[in-house]
Amino acid sequence: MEELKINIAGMLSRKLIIKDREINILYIPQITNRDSLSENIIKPLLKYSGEQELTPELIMSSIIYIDDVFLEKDTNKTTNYILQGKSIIIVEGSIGYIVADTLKVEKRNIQSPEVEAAVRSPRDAFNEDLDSNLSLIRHRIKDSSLKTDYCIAGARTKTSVVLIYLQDVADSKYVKEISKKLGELQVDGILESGYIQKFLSNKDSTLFSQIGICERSDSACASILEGRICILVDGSNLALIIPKGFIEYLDTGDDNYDNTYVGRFLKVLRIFSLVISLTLSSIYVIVVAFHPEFLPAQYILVLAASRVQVPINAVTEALIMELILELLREASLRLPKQIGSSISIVGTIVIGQAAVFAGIVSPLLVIIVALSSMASYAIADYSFMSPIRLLKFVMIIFSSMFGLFGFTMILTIIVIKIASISSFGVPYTAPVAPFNYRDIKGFVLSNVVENNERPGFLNPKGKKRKK
Amino acid sequence: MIRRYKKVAVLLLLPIFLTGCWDYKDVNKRDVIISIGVDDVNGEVEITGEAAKLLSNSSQQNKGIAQLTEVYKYKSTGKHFEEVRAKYDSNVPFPYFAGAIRAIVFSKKYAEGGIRAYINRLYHVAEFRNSVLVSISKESTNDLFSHKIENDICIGYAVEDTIKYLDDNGAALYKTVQEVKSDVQFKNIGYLLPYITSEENTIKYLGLAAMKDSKLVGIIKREESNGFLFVLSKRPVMVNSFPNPSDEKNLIAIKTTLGKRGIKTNYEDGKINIYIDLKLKSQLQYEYNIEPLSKEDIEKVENSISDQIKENIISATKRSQNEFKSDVFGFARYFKAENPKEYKQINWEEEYPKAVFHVNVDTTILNTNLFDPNAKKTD
Repeated sequence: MEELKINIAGMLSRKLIIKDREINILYIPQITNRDSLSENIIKPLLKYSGEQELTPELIMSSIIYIDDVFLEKDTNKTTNYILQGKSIIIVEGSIGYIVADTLKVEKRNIQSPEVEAAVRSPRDAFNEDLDSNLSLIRHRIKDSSLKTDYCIAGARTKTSVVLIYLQDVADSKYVKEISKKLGELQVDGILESGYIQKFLSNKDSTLFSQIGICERSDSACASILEGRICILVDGSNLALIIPKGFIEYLDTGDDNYDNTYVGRFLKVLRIFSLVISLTLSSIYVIVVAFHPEFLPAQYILVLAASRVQVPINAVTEALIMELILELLREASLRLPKQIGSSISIVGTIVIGQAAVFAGIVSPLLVIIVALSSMASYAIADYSFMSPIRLLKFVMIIFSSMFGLFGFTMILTIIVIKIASISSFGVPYTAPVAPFNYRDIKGFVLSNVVENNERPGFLNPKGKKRKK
Repeated sequence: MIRRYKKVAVLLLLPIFLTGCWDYKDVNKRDVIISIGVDDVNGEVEITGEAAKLLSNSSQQNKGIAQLTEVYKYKSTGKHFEEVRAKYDSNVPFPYFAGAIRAIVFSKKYAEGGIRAYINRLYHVAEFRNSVLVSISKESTNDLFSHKIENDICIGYAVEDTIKYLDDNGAALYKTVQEVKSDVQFKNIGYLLPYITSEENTIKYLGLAAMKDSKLVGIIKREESNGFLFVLSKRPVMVNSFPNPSDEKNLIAIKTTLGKRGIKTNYEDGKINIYIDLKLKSQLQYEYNIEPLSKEDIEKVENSISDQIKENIISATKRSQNEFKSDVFGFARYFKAENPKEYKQINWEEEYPKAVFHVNVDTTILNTNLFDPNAKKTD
């Protein structure tokens, strides 16, 4: 005990003497539910007036009220238990000690999603508390085969990481691989699920995210039902979804809830927005600087007339505008909410009006940059669009150096790179390449009535969604 | 490291052979040409035309707002095209950009001397587009481009838009550089180009210019071009009025379009036979004085439409044989395909004026909404 007191700073011990026996309760007050400790452990112990001699077994079975309690004999684990917020009850003269779960951590209430916004979807987003998050999933999927595999990651933070999957649906190959990777993980602390995401990703293809993030509990459940694995990390409000392919980022989840035809239309729209946000600015550069003859004659004249006042060349113009827009995005993200709106006003005036009137940029480019930036917001998972935003600059630079050929080459290289990624053995571009008609149909249909099969590329144990 | 990115490096280096930063030139730093006119002045080549005037006075006042484009006329003369171009280049600030050219206009005088040389230049010099309209103007091109245009952006646009619109409606022929080049290369055949003039601040389509060996040999007035159009145009249209067979004073407006066109040729007894078979579709539009039309009346009207078009075609072919002495229709293509051996043996240019034409026109009136529903019963 003395040793423990030295090891764990801030630990308290409560000494009780009952029937001439000394009982010590050890706990850290900040992470302990002290009401529960007094009511359910200390009070019944002090009130004990039975005949039998006090032993840990007796205390556990007949005296204290607390629900989660067990007997432990290994004295090496004591420190860990105390640090995890458990209370240790040591009875003088006994070999083992009692471990009672009295953990209490301050937490946020369940709130609306902020990262994964949708019109028609449940509003209960994950918060930073692992148990609350688990309760949201368990509440939605009341199935006995819903497995939750716990493990601890981070040498110092000792963060709980939970793998959630349907045992009779998910391919056990992924479960084994993920568990193995989590077991090998060596780091002092895990503060957010992003750490786990980085450890699990392929080392040679980290630009494109192969692991989805998920804030809404309903979309996490949808993924689990399809045969994917959801990873919850204690202290993080974003769950991880493994494996997640390229085209699945184009599905927002509420496509399946809302009007089917609108859902299909929006999917096509998102594909367009992806292409637009990647290529539009570089196409502008190509057309203006290398191949104006692409356009019908009248457009050439309008384009030339709109650029007459602009002293800088098209590439610099496009790069400057794209940079300003990224700057605005970053600034408005970091600013406190109360003054955030002022940035958008400044941005609109600076970019929309003043820059054009000052003759720094052409009005057409303002439209193009605004359009490509708007298009990059059309996809639900922002982590998917971040690499696209970076690649946009690469595209502009190469297009400015090699014209249309450079544009085609860099686009080809990007497509080859994307097509060669695999996420836990599942090709990143499945079901488009390798092609699978049934899965593509299922993806496009976005209707649970018409499509009752799980995606085949996930290799689920049960293909039909009926059971 | 080097080995790993070898393929990427090769991919990126390849385009250097095709294009690169040295081709970089912003569109507003180019001399955007809209039209080219070619003329012959005192034995020298004169090239005039329009170039976009990007920095106009009005656009300076309204900074940044896209303006309706203004143009200026350029002119340059020389002994040959290269000299003309060198002279032109010496007084423009930006490099020549031919990607926005809308029309090439030859003056009548220049066309009489032959346009083949300039067609070859347009076709073989990479900077020119081959899908540009070629036309011939009545006046000198310098005059043509000096006019102001009121119903379009500039002369080049007006020429192209007018011919395009008429071609779409079957009233003119839209001929591009590559089509002309293909006719020139075929040899032994002539071709027709649109013939225009500038009148009251508009561009007026006058008819067709018949070309033989790329030289102007005759003008076909717009009113006389029906026969040519029904053989050559993609969708010829004739809107005309015919007298009602039962009442000569009452006219019926009829729109006739082409249903099917069949052209066959053969070579018999030392003579070229050309069979033109047209199936026309007509629509009764209205009667000047609405009266019932019987089935017999309709048949009579159908026959008179067929007769008129047949007459037009025969007179057109006669003009080509006697006046132009050139196969401006390009019948040689059909003949060469159908009788390759004979084509090699004969001299088409000499034989063509002796060719025998067999024209058959069949007209069907499609709509019957002008019929009197009771006419049938009383008959």
